[in-house]
Amino acid sequence: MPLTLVLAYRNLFRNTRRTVLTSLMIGCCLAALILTDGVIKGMLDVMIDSVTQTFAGEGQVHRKGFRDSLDTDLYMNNIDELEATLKADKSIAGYSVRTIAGGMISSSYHMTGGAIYGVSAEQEAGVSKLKQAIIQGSYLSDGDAEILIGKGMAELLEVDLGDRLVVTLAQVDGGDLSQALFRVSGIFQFGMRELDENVTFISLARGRELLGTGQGAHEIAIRFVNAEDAEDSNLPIFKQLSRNGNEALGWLEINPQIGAMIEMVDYSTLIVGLVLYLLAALGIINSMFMSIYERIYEFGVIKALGTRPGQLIQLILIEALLLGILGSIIGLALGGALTWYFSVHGIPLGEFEFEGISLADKIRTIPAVNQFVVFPIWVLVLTVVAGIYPAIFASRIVPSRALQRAL
Amino acid sequence: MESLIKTTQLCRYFGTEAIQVKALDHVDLEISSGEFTAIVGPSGSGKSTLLNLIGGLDNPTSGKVELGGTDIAKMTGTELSNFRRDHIGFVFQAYNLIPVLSAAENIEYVMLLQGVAATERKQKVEEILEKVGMQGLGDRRPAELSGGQQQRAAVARALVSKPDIILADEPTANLDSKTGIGLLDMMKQLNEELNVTFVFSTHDEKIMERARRLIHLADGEIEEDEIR
Amino acid sequence: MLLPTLALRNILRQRRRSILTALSMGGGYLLLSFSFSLVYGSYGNLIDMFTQDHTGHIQIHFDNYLKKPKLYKSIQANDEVEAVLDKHAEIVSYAARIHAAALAYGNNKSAPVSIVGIDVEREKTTSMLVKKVKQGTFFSNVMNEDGYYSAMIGYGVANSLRLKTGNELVLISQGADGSIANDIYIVQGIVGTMTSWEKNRVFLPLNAAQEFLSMPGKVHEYSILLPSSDAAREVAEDIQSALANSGLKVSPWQEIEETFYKSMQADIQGNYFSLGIIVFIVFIGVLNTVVMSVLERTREFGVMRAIGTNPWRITLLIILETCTLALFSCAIGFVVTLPLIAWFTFEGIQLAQSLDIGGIPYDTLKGEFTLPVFIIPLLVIVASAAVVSIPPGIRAARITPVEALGSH
Ligand SMILES: Nc1ncnc2c1ncn2[C@@H]1O[C@H](COP(=O)(O)OP(=O)(O)OP(=O)(O)O)[C@@H](O)[C@H]1O
Ligand SMILES: [Mg+2]
Repeated sequence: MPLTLVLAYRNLFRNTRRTVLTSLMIGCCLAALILTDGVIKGMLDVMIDSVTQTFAGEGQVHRKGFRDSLDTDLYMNNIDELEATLKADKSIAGYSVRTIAGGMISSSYHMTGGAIYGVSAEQEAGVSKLKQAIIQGSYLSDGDAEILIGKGMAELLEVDLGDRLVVTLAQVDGGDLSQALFRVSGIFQFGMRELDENVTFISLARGRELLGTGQGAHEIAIRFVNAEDAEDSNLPIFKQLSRNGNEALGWLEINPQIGAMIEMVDYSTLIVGLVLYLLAALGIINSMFMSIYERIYEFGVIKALGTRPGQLIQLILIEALLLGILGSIIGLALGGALTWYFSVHGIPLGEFEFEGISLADKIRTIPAVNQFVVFPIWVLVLTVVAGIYPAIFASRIVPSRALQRAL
Repeated sequence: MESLIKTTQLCRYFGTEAIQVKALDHVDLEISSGEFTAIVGPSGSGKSTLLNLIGGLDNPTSGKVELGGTDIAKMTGTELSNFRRDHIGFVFQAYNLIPVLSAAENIEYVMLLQGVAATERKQKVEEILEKVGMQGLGDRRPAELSGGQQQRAAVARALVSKPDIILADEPTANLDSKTGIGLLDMMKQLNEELNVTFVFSTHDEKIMERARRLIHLADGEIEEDEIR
Repeated sequence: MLLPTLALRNILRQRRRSILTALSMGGGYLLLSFSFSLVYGSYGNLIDMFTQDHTGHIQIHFDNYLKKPKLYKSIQANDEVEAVLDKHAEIVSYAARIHAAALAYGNNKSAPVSIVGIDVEREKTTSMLVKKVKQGTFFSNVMNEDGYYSAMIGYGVANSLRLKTGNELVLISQGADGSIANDIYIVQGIVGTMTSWEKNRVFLPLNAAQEFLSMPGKVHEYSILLPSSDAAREVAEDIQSALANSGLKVSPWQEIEETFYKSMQADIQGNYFSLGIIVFIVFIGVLNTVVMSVLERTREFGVMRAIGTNPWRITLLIILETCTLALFSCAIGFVVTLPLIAWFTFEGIQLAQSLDIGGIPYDTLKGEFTLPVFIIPLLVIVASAAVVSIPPGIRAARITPVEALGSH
């Protein structure tokens, strides 16, 4: 056995140029795969982060039906009870009670439609990035006349800090239109068009008062200690909160398009992987055949000496495996260097906006264990599988013909 | 007779100063048009080296080679290519033919390089195949020909461009002696009929006998120049 | 015909190696041509969708209305603009529109909406709106006997305000003069679906909208339909130069949906990049084969040189061999790709979940069946084959007869 290994190794380096080129090819395939996975992971990370960390939270509680219709009448009444449940649970890092209503926001000369969120300053700061997103003025302090608007909306309405805004919305439960005067106390920029152009924030108390929901609210956004918890739809806390006509859901269920995207991305990684593996396999088979043809005389001789076909197959497969190991080392080095480089410097994507999330910033690749363990193992399996065809060919060489052909 | 090949103080050394192999050492040689000359000597005596230098396949360390009065050292790469194409025919020990071309096409190939018209090419191929005793075998690929047939085809190819001289380095080495003698007799006949100069190397006694002039090499020097 | 014959026979001599190499080049061709077809087909389809659906291929606005829409940045609807548009041979149709934000109120519920005032007749030939009336009928621009204008509302508005055709709808907004605008309309039709562009829009007849917003005779936008999206840029430039000094800005769809266009470009570029890597890997393999083949044939090249073949002919032979093989590969690739692309072009795949790219829903995978889709990959593969074979080709030409004959 060790002798076979030595033989395989020496054979491989008889033609260094070919071995180097072939393993370079295998290595490039592996590196490309590692990089693809790193980029995709990086993109998904940005997207999931934008969805969960920016504003929406990792989980949300609503009255059933509210998410589809945004009907303000569908508000939750048992907020105290829900808050108590959330406070008691150790896996919850924070939550924010919100009222939500569509309304009209007008400055002296302009008006626009938008969503008016009533939030508590302290709670909101523990869930969303609103506080960090303030670019002008100050964050909420639960004051009555405060309103935060997005940069896009400020431009649309041509207003600055301190300018007056009138908000008009319909009260719940068949109430009349109510109007209130605010002064712009802060301008935020999340970098998501939808939020920056269409959303405003006022204090929770004022929101409840304007809408007439009493102590009710439309939404509770939740942040977990471990973000992954929220991906499990059977989480006990979701069950506990989903009572009395309410529903508590994780972000994956709230944003099915992200789920669909993750699926699609997995699918396309698979396709890219298959294509790359196929290319590598062709390269390996080709290279193995070249080396067999070169040695056909030799094979004739050792077969004439009484080597069994199985032993020849073993030899060729070990050569293929060694080639795979060499390629994997090159691939790991190259792929590792690239993912590391791009995880620091990022890949400029151009201006790309997906699902309303701007990916204009550079995408940082994310290295992962499976890229450096699972992928190379697949490469090794593949090289051995690719070696089977040439190995069987070599084992079937008829000595008399091989010796003749060599001349 | 006017000399066709003339070497003057021809030297070819291999290796470094320290371990220098003098493959050819100050060789003065003249070969006239129409000769049928064998270069003989033990293995390593410099036969191949001499033939390569004469054919312009290799460059001398010092000294010069003149062919028909021209110093081949003064030619550029392309000139030398064309000179070989038009004036010199080669026959090697083995693997002479382009493997993907049939015997006839191998012969035609040289004429194609020279730009001979198609009808003339076909006709000449037939003629020449007959001359080397290979009528009817033109369509076969090298792999389908015996060693002797391959060498005949190689001679035919060397002959077709009407070269002044055909250089053959151990053309019979891969053949059994009977086939080898047959090849040599054919070459000699062509030499007499067409007045083509042949210079070939060999270390086979039976082959040497057929040459009209024998140049004996030993350790890169001419030991004896025997005309019979 | 000497070199081509030689090249062809050399390819056939090493049949197994040629086939394996051809498979990888053919695979490269398939991948290139298939993704070209899919990318351009899907985006082309998408562009046709939204341009024909509502944006039109070109829009005319006042100044920078497109970037910063303000009520006052309006166009005096006049014969001058329309005369320019009427004269242009390539314009299929055009329609004027007016836009404003408003609060819609009905059944004791309110929702922020976008008002679109449309030219009732022209809109029918410029956008797909008329085909998207799901309930009720397309409206007219005349008041009913009670003095109310009719409106058509998007599915989302109808859903959140629980409105049906025949119901009353109150719109509240701010007029151009700063006054409160406030009026009642009768819902005559419900248009679109929960995901379509019309979702949160309320359509009014142009004259009714102008009255509501106190903007008599003014519009915000002309939407222009062309036979196809290709010529939008040039036609827009044409119109722009005809409207010089008017303060009007003519924008092709690339500017109207700028975020989408840039995202599309980024996506296409990313796609090129990955294809580039794959082609690179394919040709490492090809380089490997060509180098091996040259090394194996050292003696043959030596003989060819000895009998007077010019070195450059040998280089050419190697290049020709590789390119011929590449051509074969592409032919095989073509045979496989053709039905695949045809299927995607004429059938396509509807995605289960539509993806939002720069504000445009991307929901169909569609192919494009055009000459470039097949020719460009061919050129890429054959050109790469030629480039890759140059170094080994030069190496082969450098083989001197003596060293070649010395080998073996
Ligand atoms: N490329 C080379 N590098 C170094 N030494 C060489 C080279 N070619 C030939 N020689 C040496 O030059 C000498 C002459 O070689 P040459 O091939 O001319 O001999 P030869 O007479 O043809 O022998 P044989 O009958 O075996 O073919 C030998 O000693 C050989 O080792
Ligand atoms: Mg010799």
